[in-house]
Amino acid sequence: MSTVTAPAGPTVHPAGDNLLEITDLVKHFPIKSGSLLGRTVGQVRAVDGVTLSVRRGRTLGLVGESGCGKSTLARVVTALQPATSGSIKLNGTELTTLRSGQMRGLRRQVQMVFQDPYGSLNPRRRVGSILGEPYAIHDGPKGKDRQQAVQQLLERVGLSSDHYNRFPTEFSGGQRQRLGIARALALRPELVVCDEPVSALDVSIQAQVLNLLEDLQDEFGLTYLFIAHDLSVVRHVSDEVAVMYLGKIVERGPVESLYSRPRHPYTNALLSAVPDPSAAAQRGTSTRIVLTGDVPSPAAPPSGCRFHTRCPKAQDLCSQEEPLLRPTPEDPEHVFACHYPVAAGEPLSIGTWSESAQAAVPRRAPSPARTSITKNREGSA
Amino acid sequence: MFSFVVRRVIYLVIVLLILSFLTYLLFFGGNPGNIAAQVVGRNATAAQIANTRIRLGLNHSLLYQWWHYVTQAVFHGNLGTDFQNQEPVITEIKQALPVTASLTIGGAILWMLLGIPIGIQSATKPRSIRDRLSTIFALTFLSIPSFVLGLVMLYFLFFDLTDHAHLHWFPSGTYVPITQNVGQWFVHMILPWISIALVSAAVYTRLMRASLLDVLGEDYIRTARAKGLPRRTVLFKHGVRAALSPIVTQFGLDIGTLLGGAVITEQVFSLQGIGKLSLTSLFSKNLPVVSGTILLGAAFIVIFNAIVDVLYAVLDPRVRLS
Amino acid sequence: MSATDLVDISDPGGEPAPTADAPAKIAGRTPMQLALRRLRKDKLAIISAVFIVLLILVAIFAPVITAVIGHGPNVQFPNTGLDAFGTPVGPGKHFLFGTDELGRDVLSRVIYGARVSLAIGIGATLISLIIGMVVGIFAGFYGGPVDTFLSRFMDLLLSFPFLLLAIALVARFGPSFQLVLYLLAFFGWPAIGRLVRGQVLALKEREFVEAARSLGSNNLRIMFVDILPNLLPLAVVYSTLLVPINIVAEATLSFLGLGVQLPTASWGGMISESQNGSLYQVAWWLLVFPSIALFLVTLAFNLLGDGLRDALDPRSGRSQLGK
Repeated sequence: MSTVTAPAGPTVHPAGDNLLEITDLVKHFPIKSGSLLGRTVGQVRAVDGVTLSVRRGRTLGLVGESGCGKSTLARVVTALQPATSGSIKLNGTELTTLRSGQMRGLRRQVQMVFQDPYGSLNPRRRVGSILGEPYAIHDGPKGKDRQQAVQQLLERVGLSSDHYNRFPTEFSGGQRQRLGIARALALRPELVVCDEPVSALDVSIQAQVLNLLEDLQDEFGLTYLFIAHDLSVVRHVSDEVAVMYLGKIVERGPVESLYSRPRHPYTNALLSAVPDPSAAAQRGTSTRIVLTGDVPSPAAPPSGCRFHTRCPKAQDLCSQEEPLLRPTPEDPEHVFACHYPVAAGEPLSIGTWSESAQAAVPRRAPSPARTSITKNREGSA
Repeated sequence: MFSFVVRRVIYLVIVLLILSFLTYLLFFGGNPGNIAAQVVGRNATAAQIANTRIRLGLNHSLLYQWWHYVTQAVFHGNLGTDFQNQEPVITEIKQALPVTASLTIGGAILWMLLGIPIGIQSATKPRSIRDRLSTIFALTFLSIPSFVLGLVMLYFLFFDLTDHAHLHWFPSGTYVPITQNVGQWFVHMILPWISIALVSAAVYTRLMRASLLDVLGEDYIRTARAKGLPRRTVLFKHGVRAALSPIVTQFGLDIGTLLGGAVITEQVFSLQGIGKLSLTSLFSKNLPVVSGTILLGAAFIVIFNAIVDVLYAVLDPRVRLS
Repeated sequence: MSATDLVDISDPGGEPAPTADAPAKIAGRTPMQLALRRLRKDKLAIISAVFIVLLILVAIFAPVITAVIGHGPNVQFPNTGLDAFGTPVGPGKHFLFGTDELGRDVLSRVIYGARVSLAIGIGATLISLIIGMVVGIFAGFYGGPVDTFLSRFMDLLLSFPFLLLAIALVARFGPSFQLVLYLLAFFGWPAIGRLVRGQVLALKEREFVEAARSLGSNNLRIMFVDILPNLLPLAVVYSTLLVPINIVAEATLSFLGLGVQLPTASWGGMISESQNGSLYQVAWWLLVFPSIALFLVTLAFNLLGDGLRDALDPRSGRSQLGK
């Protein structure tokens, strides 16, 4: 981890000390036919062979369009969904084979902050009861002690201990997300999975919640798996970023390297959508790449490279052979999976759009350009 | 479609078999000696009781008895014999059924004519005066038990008019077969029809209002309006049509239930229909008649359920036939 | 590189600093408070609630009240309660509601009849509510074969002919208070179960259920600690509307002779007695007073239930049809 802004946690961990190690993780959902017997007629390959690791006390940002499987990944890591295959190790302990009895211990170590601050808090329970729930489940403090613990939590996340008897409906979105964070912190977990924690909030409030998350990370030495569809949010909180497309990681690397030298065309497309002039200047181009067309169905992912149906650089090889993750020459930690990676400053043009790509999407009216490009400042480097 | 109907019929037959078995078990599953003793009468000798047991087939296993009962009923139209007057149960039912059918069908037409338009009125202008009036109408008649309504109507429209004002507007008390005199049949049924219809009309008003309000709250109604379709067209073509499906379900259930015996109304107006037959036989411990009428009622309900299901499949293309 | 960068770009005002009194200023109210506010404006519902409470008190203290009147419900007054020809006397100073054919005080019997009506109406509703909630929660929460089985079962029960089954059961077991209670409880729960199931199907997809699971809640805890409180408004409304249905059903059964047996005073039984030999043609009070009692209590529950539904679901009745 060679970023300039490595957060100074309370404990210093040696490099390479991974809290979370995910190897070849697969999560498929069976598609049942409508009949009474419910035969399985297919699989939605939500997560399809993901390998990731998160260092202790650091933040890994996970980015992708909606439907790419990032939320499913979060739910598998937090054991809300069982994995189909693969391995998840927390502190070296394998989680996928845990029995329900051992799961309780895991719950204390891995917690989750949810996307929807309105849906994730039970509207019929009081704040005291919602935040006291983790203690009630895990034989935590009782009675007056529990109330005290909850009130400390409230104050720690920037709310008042007087809010103890209120209902969630009495709070604003930002305040509710603070409650969600407080609940995740109650058991003092090591890993917190944040599933788009600010995407439902007003932009003006997002920063406050992000700051709170950073402060808490410093204070408690938390490790975050931070999921977002917005690259700018992830950039500010992450040490390392992984980009996901249709159930697979297509590029992963330290923030500096990935943002300044994105190699995968998909990462480029996502980055070009960030309205941030400084980032564009760093990248050496301000070409805005607008991805058209929908994300293909994860029930029938395209052959070869899954991005080839929407990729401006796709060649015949892309639909035939799946590219594997390989390191960039500059930084071995920065890996990408592409046959024809984008070179620094290379403009992505319409001309490289191949007809073969469309063949993979049958029965659609052929559109002349599935990737349209708007040049803002041509060739500005 | 055809296979759907076939499957529905098979299901229907299975349910009917189960129901008939449960009914048989409930009625004849007890002490056979007791039943035989009831049939013979109070002062019977032990030998007479034993003879009766054999004659009634009560010595066989319950399952055999039931199967005998079912096959007799299906292939010979034989539902057993009345304990008291030794008449076949089926004959008594045949006499009672036209009464119940007249009552049910006339009442149903009346309550649909009342309930649906009031419900539509009420839903198209929620919280208006009309809506409030229709709510008061509905809640009032929902709160009057139908036997109270029947008795009150009898009191004021029959006794009061006949005895005090000497106006014979609403005759009552007897059933005139429709084949005998249509006019008299009609006049004699007016009070029972009103009595059975008012309470149900209240139910249908509420149901129609709620269902239509649900539909009118949908976005596609706004879309249809935004397209420029006239209000009436949207209301009837998009609104009422979609809102009718719960009504159809309820209607099927109600008709089935009532054909099996409009017990309350028949009792109040002393109409010799299926319900009254069932009730009188119950109090005279005339088990074959009670079980016969109950089976008939259950059959009506199950059959009308099936008809509703099939109608649904025909009317609503969204219903999956699998 | 910290998130404060973002503040400079896009957060001129920001969220009001979360201080102790901030939520109070937003005037957030709990759903219950809002519902009660709306209910308080519904005069009919409030009057109905008061009436119901008074009637429950009357039923509880029936022995005390009839002692004050001086006429027990089953005491016959052959001298004062019947005239020279042995016919009942009408309402008057002595017997406020008149007497019946045996010279018993109709008022006392109406008061005691309230006990039967309310006990069965409310008792059967409570039993139905508990069974319906539990079955509905299990069916909705587990889904799959559990749901298919339970739903099919509930549909089957819902299509049962109530009066036919009542007749069949009375034929087998004889009429009694308990039979009526269990019969009504048995017929009431599938409707509640289906409603609850539908709600649970929607509720279990909410994120707070996932949140509870991620904290380590087991299924039972999620069903009864997290989901159940969200079902209570529906349960309250539906129970209030089920009580009058049960009261009418009890009266109907007693009227048909299938319910509570004489000499126990029940409204349906009293009305049935008044019909015997068309007695009510000469003694209208035998029909009118129990009927009015029955009507008023049913109407009160219906009005209260209607008001509660509107109060708890203000969304209902919003039409997109336009003018």
